Amino acid sequence: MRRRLRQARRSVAAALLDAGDARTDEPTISGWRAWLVATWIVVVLGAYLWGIVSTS
Amino acid sequence: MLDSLLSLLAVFAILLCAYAPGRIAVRHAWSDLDPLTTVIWSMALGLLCGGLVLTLLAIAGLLDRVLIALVTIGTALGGAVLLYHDVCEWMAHRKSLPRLKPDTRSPVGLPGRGMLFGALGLALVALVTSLVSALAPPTAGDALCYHLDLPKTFLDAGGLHDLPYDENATYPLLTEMWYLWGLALNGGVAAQLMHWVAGVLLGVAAIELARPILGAPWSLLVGVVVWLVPGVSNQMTAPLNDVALAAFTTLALAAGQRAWMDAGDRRWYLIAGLMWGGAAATKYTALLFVPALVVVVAYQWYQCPGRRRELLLAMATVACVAISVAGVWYLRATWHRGNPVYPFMSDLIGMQGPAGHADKTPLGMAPLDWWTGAWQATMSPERFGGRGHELGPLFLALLPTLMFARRLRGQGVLLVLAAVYCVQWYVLRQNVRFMLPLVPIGAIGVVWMGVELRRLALWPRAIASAAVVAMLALGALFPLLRSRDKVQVALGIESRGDYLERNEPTYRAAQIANQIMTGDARLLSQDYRAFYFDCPVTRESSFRRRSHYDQQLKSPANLGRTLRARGFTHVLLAETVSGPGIQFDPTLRRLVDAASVADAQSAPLRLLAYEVVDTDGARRRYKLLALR
Repeated sequence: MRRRLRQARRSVAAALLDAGDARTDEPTISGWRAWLVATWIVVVLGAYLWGIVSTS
Repeated sequence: MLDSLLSLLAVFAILLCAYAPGRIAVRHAWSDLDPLTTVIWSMALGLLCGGLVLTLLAIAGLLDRVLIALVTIGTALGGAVLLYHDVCEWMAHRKSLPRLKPDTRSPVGLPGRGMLFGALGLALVALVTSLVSALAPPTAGDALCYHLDLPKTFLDAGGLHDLPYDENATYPLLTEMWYLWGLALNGGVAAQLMHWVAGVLLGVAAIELARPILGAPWSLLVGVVVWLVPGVSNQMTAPLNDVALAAFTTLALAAGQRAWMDAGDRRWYLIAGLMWGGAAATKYTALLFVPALVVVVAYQWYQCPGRRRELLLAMATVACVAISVAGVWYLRATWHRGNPVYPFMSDLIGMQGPAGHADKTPLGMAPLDWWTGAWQATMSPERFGGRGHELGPLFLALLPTLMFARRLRGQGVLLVLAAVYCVQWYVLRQNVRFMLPLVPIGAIGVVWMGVELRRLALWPRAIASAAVVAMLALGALFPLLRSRDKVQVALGIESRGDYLERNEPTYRAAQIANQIMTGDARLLSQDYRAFYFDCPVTRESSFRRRSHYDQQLKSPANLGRTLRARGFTHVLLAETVSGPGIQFDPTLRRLVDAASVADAQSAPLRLLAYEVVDTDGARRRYKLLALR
């Protein structure tokens, strides 16, 4: 049952995700890339809040 | 409270009225659509149909409040019957309706229940508080200048007619026809609520656009992100047209996407053409999509050689239908102004356009400006049309990180389309509200990156997720804060008149003018905000530029006689005493002062003078004068 569910999910993923994407099966975004994503999001939020506070 | 209820009732009648023809068309074309899709397309087609009927009535000179009210009520009753029938049918067959199943259409399962309900809760806060703000009488500058004033003028006149001193009178005015509908049934608040409805339609259109890409469960969050964009929730509270345009372009993209994915169902191309026509009949900005669509079509032409005939047929269908829907507005502009997109491109066509326009492109062409454009537009929206229209931080925070995400089928084409639009936005007119048509496309990317955040390692994921939640919460906080001073008038605790006295600078002058002016009165005004005046109002700067009346005066004492000879009976002087914002041209004020010095007996007679603090924080002085 589990295997069939996993296969179904993979087929749905294959239908939605671009074919030939080498990163499709990567389980995680790890290492420096993960920290870069998190840092960028926090920097944008911080700068945005600072902009609101400084202009109000 | 009764005023608010009547306005809501009027809009409800309009929506039921729109539902009837839309539902009949959708049922005739498709019988297997799920309820959400059925309602979305029925409302979209019905509202477009209503706008087109009013346009035709306006062109024919048959606009009449009683006629509009009777037809609306009659059709609304039919719409109510259809809706009741549909709801009963859906309830009876609810077990067999398409559902949000965890194993369908999503590569990563369902969004968590807490996440889904939390996001929907935030969206609900944004929608409800925006509705409260929309129930306050309209005070937005552009709305009082033309989005509401033009339909009011046309309704009073019984049809479309030329207004040579109004630069906005020959714009595409489909959304304004909706406002005319609201004005005919109720007044300014009902008209304003029509744009709130357009905002709701934008959100559900975004869900419709996202469903084939993200799957049904996650696409709900796309609608949430759209409603939590500060510029969207703010525009929903005012009768402008950017949100309506975004709704039409999103519906057009969704229909085109359906047609391309459901190969062979060419009816969706017809719908896409109708929606692109609706967009082009709403605002010139829709034309920026033409080059973007050409790029996308060229890409598909190259990628799918087996479908080139279908592509050709689709383009011809969409173009013909869109031109049929929107062409009348461009013909009208050509007829009256000699330029189909007047006042834009006037220089290219070799015509005289309005002078004195400020620079609309704060960012230059230097590579650094291109690279930092998105950052600057997000962090300093004041330079790009105002913080009220801002897109918020979500797009800047999450869209660049898509480079680490898996690619979604269908998303790439939309992003290319958005990129071509962005280049034109950058080169032609850098105003953040002109980016609203791209919000649904950006929201799909935001939600997909939100999904992909689950693939981050624990700590980065926790930090990024917390920041994203904070950004979404900000999106609900802004409309909540904006609605604070409007709750009382929305609930009827404060009268609409008292609210306008506090918030609309021209209202006091309009009240006095409406009491003392007779049927043949005509006002020459320095302030463009004319909606609350019952008499015809002419913009002084446009009139001066065309007539050069100021240069033809032999003596200042002749000012009153000269203006009366041109049909004016009163003038409204406006002056910014201190603070930011618009600075009125001082020519007329100086002429009036000079006339008073030259001959006090024949100089314009002061009826009213007052100072107010405007919504932009500037202190402004107004004088209402009678010409002698």
